[in-house]
Amino acid sequence: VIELYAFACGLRELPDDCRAVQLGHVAAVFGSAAGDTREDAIRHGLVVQALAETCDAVLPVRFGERFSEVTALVDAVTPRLHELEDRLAAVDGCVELAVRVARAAPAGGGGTEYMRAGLRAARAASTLHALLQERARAAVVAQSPLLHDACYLVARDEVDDFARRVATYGAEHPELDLVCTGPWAPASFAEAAA
Amino acid sequence: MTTLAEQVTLVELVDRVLHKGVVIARVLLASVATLEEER
Repeated sequence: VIELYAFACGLRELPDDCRAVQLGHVAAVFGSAAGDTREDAIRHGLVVQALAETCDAVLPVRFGERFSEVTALVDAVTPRLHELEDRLAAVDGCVELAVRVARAAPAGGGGTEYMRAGLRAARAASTLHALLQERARAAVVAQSPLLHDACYLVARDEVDDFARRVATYGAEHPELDLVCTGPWAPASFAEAAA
Repeated sequence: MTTLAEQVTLVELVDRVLHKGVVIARVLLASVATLEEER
């Protein structure tokens, strides 16, 4: 049994213990299937992260995509090939950064001031999203109890600038708690192929 | 022993592989549900 990790274009190096089958312009990267533990999921994620550093474009596959043999994988993927090529073109040269925004602990004050501070924080989070969208190729906003929870598709050579932008905005807005993680392989932007 | 920052990164990594990415032919839904309960 084999486990599918990702689809890639411009593959320069395979992670350890991985193999690839070329389907048109798309390389399907896979390895021997292991188990279903948290450690197996972490290993899957680390393979995908390694691919993000050694490919022009990578489209992560969700954990648990397993096939009896390579021919079964090829049969399942071939009908989706054009769709996958389109998605890979959309993420070419890009990685994903996640930005989460929560309201910082309020300094005090009564109920009315608390509500006003909440509205100010919500507006500031919305403004941040607009600023970041200008610097991203695409964005996906998640439903979340947080003020803002989104993933941004960012060109690799603009990652540092993007992260600095988030940090600067956080320093300018103490009413917000900001966290920026990544760069990740662009899994949030694979959905159109699902 | 991993630091809190490393643990948070691993939690996000696991969350991403379980909930995001291309789906071709899920065959392990029950197993993944079990795995999520472990988290």
